[in-house]
Amino acid sequence: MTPGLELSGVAHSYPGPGPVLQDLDLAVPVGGCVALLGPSGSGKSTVLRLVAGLEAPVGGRILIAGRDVARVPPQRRRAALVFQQPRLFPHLDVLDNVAFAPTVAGVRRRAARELAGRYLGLVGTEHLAGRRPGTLSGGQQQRVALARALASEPDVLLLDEPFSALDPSLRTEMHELLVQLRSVVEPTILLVTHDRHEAAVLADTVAILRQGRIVQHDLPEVLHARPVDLEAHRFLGGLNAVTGQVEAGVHVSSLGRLEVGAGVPEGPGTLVLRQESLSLCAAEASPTVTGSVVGVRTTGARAEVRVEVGGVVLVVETADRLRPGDVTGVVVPRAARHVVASGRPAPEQVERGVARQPAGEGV
Amino acid sequence: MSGHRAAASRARGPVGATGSALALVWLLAPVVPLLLWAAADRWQFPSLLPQDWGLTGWRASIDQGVLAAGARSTGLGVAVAAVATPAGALAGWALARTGLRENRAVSLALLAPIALPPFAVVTGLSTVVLRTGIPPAVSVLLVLTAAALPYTTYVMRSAYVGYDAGYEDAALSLGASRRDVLTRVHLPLVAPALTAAAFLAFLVAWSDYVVTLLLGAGSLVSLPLLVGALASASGNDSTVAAASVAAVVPPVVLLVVSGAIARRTGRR
Repeated sequence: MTPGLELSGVAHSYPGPGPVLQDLDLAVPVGGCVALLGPSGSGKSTVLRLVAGLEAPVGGRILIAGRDVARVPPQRRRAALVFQQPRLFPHLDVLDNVAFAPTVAGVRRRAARELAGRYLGLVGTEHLAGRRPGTLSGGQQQRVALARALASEPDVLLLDEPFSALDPSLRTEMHELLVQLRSVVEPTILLVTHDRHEAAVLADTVAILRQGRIVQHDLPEVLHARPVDLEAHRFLGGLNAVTGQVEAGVHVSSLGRLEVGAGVPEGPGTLVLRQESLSLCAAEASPTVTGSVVGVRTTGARAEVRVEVGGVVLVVETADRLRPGDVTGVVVPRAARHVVASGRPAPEQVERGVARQPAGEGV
Repeated sequence: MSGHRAAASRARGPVGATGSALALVWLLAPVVPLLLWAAADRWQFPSLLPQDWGLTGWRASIDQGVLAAGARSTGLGVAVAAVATPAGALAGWALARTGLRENRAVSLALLAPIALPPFAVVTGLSTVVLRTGIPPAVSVLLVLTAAALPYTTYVMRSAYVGYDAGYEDAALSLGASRRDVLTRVHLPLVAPALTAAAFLAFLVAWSDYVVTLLLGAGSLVSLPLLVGALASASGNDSTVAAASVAAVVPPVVLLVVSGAIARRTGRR
């Protein structure tokens, strides 16, 4: 199937030191949503500007709905951008903001407004039609901005951290709205965010962008459980990394000998473990390892319990209430164990990460 | 609305309120005798108010050509605003996008027409204009446009410094052509600033005396020239006052109208 959006070998640089993007490959299936996740300055927004045609790449190809858009001006790319700031036109009321795209496309005023009314209904803001943007709350403005972008009936919807300026409860509400919109209008979405929770909640797959390169692109759960390297593990909020040696499918470290599977390359390797995948149990109940609690940090309903095991501190996210000094067992499920190269990632590992795109995810 | 204003003046306190009142008196006081004279048929010392009210002054000033002079001034103001506003918008746009260093040199050059004494410059220019054979009306228009440019440029520069080009990016991504972006997004967004700039340019031309007198060489009798001529020649106070009021009222009306437009389009 032709992807809704495809970038191959895209490179970009601004005047100044270093390229912004290098040899970037990314595909978004029709009706799918891919999140581009990266720290600030990683070049995420630049990717969106390149797709929208607001910047020209120095190399590579961009295909929207199978069409090479190298020579297509932004207004004919059918790629609608929604920014962090809603940027509703202050001189137009809400209805005319949403009717903007059909109006400039030549639709008659009345028909354009009817269409706009339908899209306002889709985002639950039809009652705001006559209001000026300046009189709306931030969440309302972003809803209208989404409706305005959808009303242009784009081939690809580009979302540039659209919810990061909203407060957490409103953000959750907008996430639900977007999930609901996806089930109704099925737009092809490329979402840029620095928030891994947002990426996981909204997108089918998540690509990690670091220093202008995609280092891993996979399902959110795979990304979290099997990060391509230590940096990705840390970036995704992973708290446990234990250095050691891999010998015949067994990781040997201060934690002891933990089976990790025959396919793991021999030699030095860092065992990365998600704190959510570990659990505590009584020291007698045959845990994987046993240690003593050295710290507890409450995160709300749950807590991060720090357990020292043979000189290594493991963080376990749990609802169990323990206190420093308690002796506890830690269960490290076989499926939670993942080994990455120690130190800098080896080049072939990066390649593998990129190659492991979730092809044929049944979209 | 009035509640807001009352709250605002309360917030400023008695000192602020007194200051505002004094400023208003300072501005309006000179106009009061003018208005009284324009409506006076007879007003002799030591009476505080005119003895006879009437429109004799107005009739006389119309006979003296106030309407035609007003039309000429309006034409001149509109022409200068029509040239200086877009030129100032382009210059302001460029200045808002350049570095501070280049900016300073350009700013100095722009300020020159304000800094130099107009009489000296225009006297020199009039010789040049006579020799080159440029029609007087055209030379007046050119020089007044140069005089209005610093104002329009500065107004537009401030507008463009705070201008968010992201609105245009959004419009482009929604399918708007460059032309649509200009007419449906850019111009509406800067409309309040454009209105203010055009108003200032109009005022520069409307209130000019020296340039029109020296370069116009008598062929362009604008309202200020007529008022000046009436004041120095007739000695009829109510005629002069009526002509003066005719020169004061249009800018005030324009100010109110442009203010209303700015409020309407600038609401965010």
